[in-house]
Amino acid sequence: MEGLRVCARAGSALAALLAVSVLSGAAYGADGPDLSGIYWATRYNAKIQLVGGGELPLTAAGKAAYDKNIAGLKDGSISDDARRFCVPDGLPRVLATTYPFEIVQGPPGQVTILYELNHQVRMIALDKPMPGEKELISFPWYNGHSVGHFEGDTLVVESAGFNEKTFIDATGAPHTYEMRTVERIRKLSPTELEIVITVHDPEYYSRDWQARFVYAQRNDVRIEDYLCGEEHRDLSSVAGVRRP
Amino acid sequence: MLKFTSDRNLNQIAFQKPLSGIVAAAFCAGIAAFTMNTPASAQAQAKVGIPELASISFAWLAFGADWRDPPAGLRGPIRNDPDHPFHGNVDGPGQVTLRIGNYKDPVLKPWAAAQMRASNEEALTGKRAVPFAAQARCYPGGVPGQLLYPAEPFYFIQTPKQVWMIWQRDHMVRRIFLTDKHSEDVKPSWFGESIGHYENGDTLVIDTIGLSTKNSYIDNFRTPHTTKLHVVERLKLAADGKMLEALVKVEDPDTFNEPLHMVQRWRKVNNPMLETVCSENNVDYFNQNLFPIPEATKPDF
Repeated sequence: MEGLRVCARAGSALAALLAVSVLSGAAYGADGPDLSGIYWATRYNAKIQLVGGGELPLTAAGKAAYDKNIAGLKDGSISDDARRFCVPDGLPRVLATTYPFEIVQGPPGQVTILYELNHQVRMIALDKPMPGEKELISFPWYNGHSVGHFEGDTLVVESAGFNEKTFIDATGAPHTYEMRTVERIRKLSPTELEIVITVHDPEYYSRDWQARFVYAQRNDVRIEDYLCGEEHRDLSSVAGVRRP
Repeated sequence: MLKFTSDRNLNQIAFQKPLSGIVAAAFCAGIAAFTMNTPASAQAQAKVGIPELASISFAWLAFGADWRDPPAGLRGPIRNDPDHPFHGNVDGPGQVTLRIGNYKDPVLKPWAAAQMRASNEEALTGKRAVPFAAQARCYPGGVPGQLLYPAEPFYFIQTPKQVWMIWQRDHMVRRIFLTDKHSEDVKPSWFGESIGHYENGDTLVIDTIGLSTKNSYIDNFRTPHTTKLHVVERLKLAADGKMLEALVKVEDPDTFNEPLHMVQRWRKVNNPMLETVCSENNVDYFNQNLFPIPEATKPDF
């Protein structure tokens, strides 16, 4: 029985490989289009900007949580640990990073995203099912558990299994542990990367909403070591950054 | 993802890779008996001529947090002070002791000996009940110190131009550039500038300079170094692919009277990488005056 299942899997892997190599030639390897490289935002907003504009569609519970975070961050009763202790930013806040990050298509079967900020690493397993509910709830991660697949030129990343220690953005917009996100990552041009994220968190948001981030490809820079509280690289190329 | 991967799961993962898929399909069709003698990994290795270190399903777990001795004839690492024998958690029954380095080792320049002696005093007098250990306090271990992190595995990514070494612990990352040369002017950093190449199909050679010195040590005895530190690591994959061994050469003429050589070993483990965040709840619960974890007094931006 096990042998048959393995054979079936192997058969489909072979078919998929043939399809990919016939359809896409050299530019599209077995692991999809080439998104690899170093990217760096040119603009930063502390408050998340929604696609189509407007305010976050908060539910009453979401508004209460947001108000509590805003007040707590102001009076110091809530700590922004992503900036104080440099724990991971979580989604979608990490997408607003003002530091370079790199996308590596490897090891085989994974896309790895490595951020300079807070030395965060996201492992995106390709063509795998999302871990089960029990695992997501038992082992929540700051940046969630992610799986991905390619749709043409786009890497589609689904994430779930978040802890509640992170914010949606630097203003303290909240999410629950039940948040689920979908990121669509693609090259807009040879020098630009776009990530559009859809956030689904019905307890705090009355509808799914999206935010869009665009980054410049910057293969001229190397990712630097980052340690909390040290001097870090110059961010003057990123509009909207204010260093306290 | 958090399950420790059983052999069965590992096979399923492996068969989802296209190359292995072909091998499996050929096997299933019963037309390619030769592949049974030559695993896919060996074929890939022969083809590209590099050790296969990177995978989503396996990683490398260190045997311990102290350097092993180098081959005979080579000057070895700094050891414990003979007056304060070290007894670690894995050294069998007996009271665990602190790591008190041998500051009297004649290989040390006077400044380094004095610094180690002061650090020892701090521990022995109980002023700091647990001496500094980088990864326990959320600091990068530096080069070569990071190789001594024992409790969680590290992972490789290999591309033609670059190698990444990613420790699960706090997601510390080293980058090794395969097609570049050392910069004329290197800004010192925790992991420095590493240039690498492969040798003999089984060895990754990494040459590192540009290492910063603050809270950076070459071992867990808190042996310091200067920015002149030059480290050459030779990471060799065992013939059976199940063990990785590093022979490390440490040169720093302002710290050591001659180069030191040391060895570390890792065994292959079938664990996918998890997210481990060091500074999460990392609190000095027992008032041991632990070295403070990195903290930003004001937000970066």
